Amino acid sequence: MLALKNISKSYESNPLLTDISFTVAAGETVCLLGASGSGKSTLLRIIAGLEAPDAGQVCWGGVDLAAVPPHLRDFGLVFQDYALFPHLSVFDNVAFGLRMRSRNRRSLATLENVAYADEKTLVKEMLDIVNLRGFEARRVTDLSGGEQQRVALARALAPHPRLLMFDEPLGALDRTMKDDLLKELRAILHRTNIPAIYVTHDQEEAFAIADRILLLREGVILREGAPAEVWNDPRSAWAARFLGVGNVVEGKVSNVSGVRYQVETNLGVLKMQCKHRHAVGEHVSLLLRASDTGMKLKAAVEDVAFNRDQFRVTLRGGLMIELERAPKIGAEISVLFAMECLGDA
Amino acid sequence: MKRILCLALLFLAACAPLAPSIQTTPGEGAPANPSALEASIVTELPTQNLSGQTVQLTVMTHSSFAISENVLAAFEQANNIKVTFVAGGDTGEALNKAILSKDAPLADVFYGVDNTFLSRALDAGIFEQYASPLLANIPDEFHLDLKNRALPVDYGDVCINYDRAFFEKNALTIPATLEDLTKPEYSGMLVVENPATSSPGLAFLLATIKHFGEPGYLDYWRALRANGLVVVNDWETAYYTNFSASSGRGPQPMVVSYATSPAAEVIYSDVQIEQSPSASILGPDTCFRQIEFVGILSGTHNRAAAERFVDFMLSLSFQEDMPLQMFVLPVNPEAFLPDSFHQYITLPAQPATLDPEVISANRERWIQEWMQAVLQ
Amino acid sequence: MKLRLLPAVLFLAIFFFLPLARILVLSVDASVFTAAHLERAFFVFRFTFYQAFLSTLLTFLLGLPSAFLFARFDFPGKSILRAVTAVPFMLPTVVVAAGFNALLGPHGWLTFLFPQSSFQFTGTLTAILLAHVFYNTTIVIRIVGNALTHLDPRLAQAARVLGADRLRVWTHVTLPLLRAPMLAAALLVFLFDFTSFGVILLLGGPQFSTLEVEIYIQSLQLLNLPMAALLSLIQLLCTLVFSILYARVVERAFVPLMPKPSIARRPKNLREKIFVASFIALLASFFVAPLLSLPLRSVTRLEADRGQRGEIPYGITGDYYSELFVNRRNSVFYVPPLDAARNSLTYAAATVALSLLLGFPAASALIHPNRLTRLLDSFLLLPLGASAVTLGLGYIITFNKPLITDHWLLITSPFIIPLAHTIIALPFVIRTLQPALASIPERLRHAAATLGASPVRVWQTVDLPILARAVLSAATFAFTVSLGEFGAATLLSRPDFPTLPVAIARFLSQPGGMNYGQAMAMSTILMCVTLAGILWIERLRLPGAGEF
Repeated sequence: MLALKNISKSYESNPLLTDISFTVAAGETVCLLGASGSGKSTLLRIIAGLEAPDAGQVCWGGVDLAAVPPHLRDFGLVFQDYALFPHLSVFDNVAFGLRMRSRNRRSLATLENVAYADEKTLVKEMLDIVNLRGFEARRVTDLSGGEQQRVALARALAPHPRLLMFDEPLGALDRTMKDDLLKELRAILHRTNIPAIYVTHDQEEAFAIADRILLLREGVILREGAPAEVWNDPRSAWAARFLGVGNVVEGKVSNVSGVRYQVETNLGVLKMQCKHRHAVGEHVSLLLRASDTGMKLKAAVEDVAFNRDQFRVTLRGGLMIELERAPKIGAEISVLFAMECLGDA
Repeated sequence: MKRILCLALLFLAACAPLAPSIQTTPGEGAPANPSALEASIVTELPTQNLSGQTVQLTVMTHSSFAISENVLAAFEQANNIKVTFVAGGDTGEALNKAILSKDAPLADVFYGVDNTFLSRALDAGIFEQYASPLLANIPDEFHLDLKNRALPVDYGDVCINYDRAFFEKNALTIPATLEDLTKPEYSGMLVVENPATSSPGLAFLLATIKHFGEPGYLDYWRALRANGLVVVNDWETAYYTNFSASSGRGPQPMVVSYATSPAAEVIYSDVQIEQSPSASILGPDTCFRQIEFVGILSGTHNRAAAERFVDFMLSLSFQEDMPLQMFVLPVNPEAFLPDSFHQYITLPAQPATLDPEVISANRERWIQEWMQAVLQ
Repeated sequence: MKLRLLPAVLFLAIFFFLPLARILVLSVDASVFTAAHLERAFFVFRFTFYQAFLSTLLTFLLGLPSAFLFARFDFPGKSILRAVTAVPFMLPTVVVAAGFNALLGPHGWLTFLFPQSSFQFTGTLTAILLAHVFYNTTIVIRIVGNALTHLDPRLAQAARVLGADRLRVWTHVTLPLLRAPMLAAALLVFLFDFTSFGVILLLGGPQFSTLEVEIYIQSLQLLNLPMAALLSLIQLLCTLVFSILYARVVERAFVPLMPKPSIARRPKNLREKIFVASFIALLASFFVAPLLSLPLRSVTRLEADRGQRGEIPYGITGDYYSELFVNRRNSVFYVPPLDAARNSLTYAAATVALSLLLGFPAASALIHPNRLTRLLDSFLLLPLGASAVTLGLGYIITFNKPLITDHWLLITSPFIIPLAHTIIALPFVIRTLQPALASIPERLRHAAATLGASPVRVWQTVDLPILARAVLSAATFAFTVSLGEFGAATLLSRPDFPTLPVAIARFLSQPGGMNYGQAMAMSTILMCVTLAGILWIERLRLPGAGEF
């Protein structure tokens, strides 16, 4: 449905987004994951029409939206700190989009199933969806952060947009609130079947909500795929580090024979197969993940920290693994590691 | 409460040493620079003290008061009195300040109340009686307060002045009567003073009341207003900013001023001029006679010096100095008038006057009515 | 704790509430209620309201686009232009009147450059309105502009995405959010225009009488004290109503908008560029011209001296300044300008001392508010709403009989002026000191103490630097207020002890180029001293201390 074609944008001659292309299918939730400053928010604003790209197209159903102003695009956008209208009540905030759109005669919106006349019912329904029944008359400034975020969600949902965008929507909330809202949000997106783009810097959030993840680094899409694919195969040292997949170790190729490589690291010389081609002396990054099979490494336990239902164990040499039972600090344990080469360091 | 107040006042007194009031110094002409002025005070005080204690006398006046240095110096030396003048604004404002402060007078002598305000001063009881021996020389027509609280000093006529050159250049007839001023050919040519804030303004209002009576004068003023009358707050603005024949070269060729103003133009001019650029309209009731009085403020601690000063104002030396200083006429008929006065001043034969009692009873009402008719 | 409030409260009781009470008593005099008096009072009230309304309207006409300009656009010299628009607000009315007079008045530049033009400025409503706009535009720029700057741009974007076009973003989001600040600014501007005295007296003619001017005329010119008291009562009630409205609006105006870094940017398209350029030109010329023509006029001879009929030596001259040092016998009131300056400085110094002496203990008592001090706090701020002329009238009718001894009359003593000025300055002084005193956290003191500092050292290193700035700032404020105050001084100053603004007003109305030039010279000096004061306060301003 939504297709971005070769979007580029620079700000004061610094490239912000470079040649971004991707699509969002019907009912799909795509997550843009990247560190702050990677250009995620700018990309959302370009899709919403709040900013124009320097090059490239935003298309919906094959039609270029360049000439369509933001208020006629019929997209929904949820801001990080909600951007609720402080002078309006909860009801009026949620009804805002309905009122505006009912007056946009030229709107591209396909108004199927939505009877705008019955504003009250619709707002009530939206507040039900976000678990804010009976909040209609409240002032938005009196609500908690979580409640405000629900109102923002209801406001974006109410006009039944053809695309929903979330710009770090849970960034300002605490952990438990985040988890609850994520679950609800996923359920709502599934129920309404509205395609969505979700922007975040938090990989846990991304994995929890996305059908597909786009990993963004300095304005470039680095990796794209389903959460499990991306997790299993991060394909770059930066992605592995950013996602927190296993241990990334730097090393120097010391011997090559066909696809078998020997790499010198601070853990010793490691042997593995590699799909890339490397010359002797080249620096490479390796990904080491604890596994049932693979190379056995023996090392002393340096530190043990409790992490949810597991223990995060740091071994001498810097490798980290997660174990179900806590070993003693100083004890020597052996762990099996699966190794893969992530390419040039 | 009182103690705290005292403390506050003491504190203020300690931290606010105020400038001594400027005193007039004996000697001729103003010293060239202020340091010389201070030096002269210091060096000359002891010599005066040799002949006894110098008395400080404060005289409150309106702001048009003026006197020759040497005349004043002669008085000060002869009587061993040092005179400080305090000017309190226009006639009305100066008098009101004197009335408001009558429980602790700002001065020993007040000069400048005129016949339009006389009753206000007398009713407020700000003056002490003083039957100066010099009153004998003064004609009865000026002697309005028979209890001798306010003593006449000078008189003058408030008249409409016109710009000779303007009327000549435009071949306009000079208006001869009050009624003429409402004619369309004089539209926008007259500037008058607000009677609420200016004594010549009030005098001219009284002249129209004398001439048209009540309520006819209000109709007259409405007609003037319809004819583009310009009203300003004070004589200085009217004469020097609005009047076209003054050095200010303003837009209006007619102004309510004094019968003596044409002479003043000649005398004040920095270049020799043959004829005054202005003249007075001397028609029926176009002029109003003002008489100015002096009085000793009640509560003075310098009664003797105050009497000397009042005598001085009625004496020939002051009466003859006054015309060229303030452009008023002396009440003492024996006083010698300067040539220029004879040459440039024509006095109205029959100036309008009103009984001070009538003025007193109606002044505030007339002014309020005038404000409503002309300013609203 | 509460004892420290006592001096300020007592002072206010005697020098503010007692005079007001006397006005109240005097105004219920039956002799006031004649048809003519009531008609006049109504007329004056109507005109006061009318000119304030017009002035506010015009101020917004200039102020709103200016606020938009400053909030949304960046351009070279922006901070300088903003400072220039703020300068008039702090200037004494006589200086503003003199500035406009020098530019547009009968002895000013315009008349000199276009002697044939029939343009008349002084004595017209235009003059009053222009001066009021000149004075108060900065209020709109500051209050509305601040709100615009801090308005979260994402609110507008959210509205856009929700289907509002640009116009409806303004009507449904931006304007509703700006309504409270705009109302607050409007009330404040209206209040200042409503109580305007010097501008109307010096630039308007006799036909333009506001309540303030009429109080002065009725009391000092016509000696009709009951009528003046009635007018004062009307004035007091009006300012009270406006002040209450303002306080309510300000209270409700608090909208938790996200403080964002400036969203101002350079103008992009041609339309924006034209808007920015034309408004910069308009603001610069409107605000700089009167401020500049004043000092220029003070060194240029453009007209004849009194009685001067020969050749006029037009051109640059230093005469007007050197004449200030000459004590001429026939000069106005026999008080040379230098003495007026000395009086003003003395009064200002006394005002500073007295307002600090009363304000410091009061401010320190108000740091930890309880119910009583909160009540007293608003009580201490009440004089803000009262007009200076009303205060002057109250003093005249209250203190014109002996207070302590038979010959100790407050009204005729020069001390009366610093007392009135202290009443005017005290609320500002307390408002400046209080946040500074409150900003010294106990923790900082404890931290210094645990680091080994003795109490004296703690005071020296922690309290003193913060307090010194606040005290200096408050003192400078009291000083400039006293130096420029015109209304109360006009009613109260002794003829032989005029203040600088009173002397300037006198010189302005005196005949001839020399007197006018001296008025210009004195105004220029007063303007420079005040500007120095403003700059000094700006430099001392504690970060976070509010405006207005």
